[in-house]
Amino acid sequence: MSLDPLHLIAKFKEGDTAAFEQLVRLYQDRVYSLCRHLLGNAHEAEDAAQDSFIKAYRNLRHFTPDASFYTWLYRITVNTCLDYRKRPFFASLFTRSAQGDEFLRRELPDELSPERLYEAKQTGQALQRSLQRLSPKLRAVIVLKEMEGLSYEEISEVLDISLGTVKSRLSRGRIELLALMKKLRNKNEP
Amino acid sequence: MNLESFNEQEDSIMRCKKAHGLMSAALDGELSAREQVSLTAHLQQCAVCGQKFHAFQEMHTLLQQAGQFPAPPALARRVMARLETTEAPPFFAPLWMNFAEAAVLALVIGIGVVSGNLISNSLVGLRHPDRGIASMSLEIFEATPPDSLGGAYLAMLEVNHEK
Repeated sequence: MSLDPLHLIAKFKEGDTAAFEQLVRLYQDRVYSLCRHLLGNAHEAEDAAQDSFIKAYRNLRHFTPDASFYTWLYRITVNTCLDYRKRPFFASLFTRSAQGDEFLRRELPDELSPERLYEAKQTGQALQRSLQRLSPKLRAVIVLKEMEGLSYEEISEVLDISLGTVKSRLSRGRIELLALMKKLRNKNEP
Repeated sequence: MNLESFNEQEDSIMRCKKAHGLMSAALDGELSAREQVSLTAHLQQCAVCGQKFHAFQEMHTLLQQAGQFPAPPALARRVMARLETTEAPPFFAPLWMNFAEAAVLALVIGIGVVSGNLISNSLVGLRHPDRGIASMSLEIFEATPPDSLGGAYLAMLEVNHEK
């Protein structure tokens, strides 16, 4: 079966449910990763990714091929994650975890000294914790730009905001994130 | 502070403010050539802004290195399993749902009509007291209707009395 999303969507609209499963497999890494960055933990990220695909299934017949499928899917995913953040504190209390040591996914070189390795993990944790302290709106822009590599235009489409708002939120998000990281580092320093 | 040094400081502050406004777009490579030249010149002159931009660059690199998390292996299977248990096929569902709703509605109406008819027939005596039950209205109230237990008891007494 072809892995062209538009072809899969057309097949799905003809009633082929297997085509939807192919779409899930095609986009599961990107959707899950986005959820993971926005929510900060594995458990909630998997739930949110599943919910996003189910919402996509219910609404796919309204999707028109003149729009980009992945920005459409990203919009559903970001909104799902924002809804997760609106849940009562106690509902998500037991699923919160730091996991900052997993934040930097790149392979750390073997020759890195224990001190440098520790420092890299600390930096990863500080960045992850700072990111989670940003307001959801600023976090969404930072994640979409820095981690997902979307253009200003794509972010504008996903979040349904103007280009000017994308630029100003990005600038404000970076300033706040840097300040939060600085604060965390100062706190951790003896 | 004389006027000249005050103006210089003001000018420097303005340039720092302008530089801060350009830093985010500079990280994304979104500055025009003119803005880029202006920012680079300012960063070479102003150590504070230079340090700040360097910190932004470090953070930008770290965030980009965060990379992608691969999805759990069973994610697609779990999504499809949830869909199987909760969803009808999307394009037949509305049609199927309409049929089901119409069938339930017809059944309820049918039951209503039939049971209404049965009740109406059984109450025929209410409309025609001479043809049936004569004890359902206050207008034709009888303390001991003939087909009630009390009525039967009185009838038995009458029979006994006649004897």
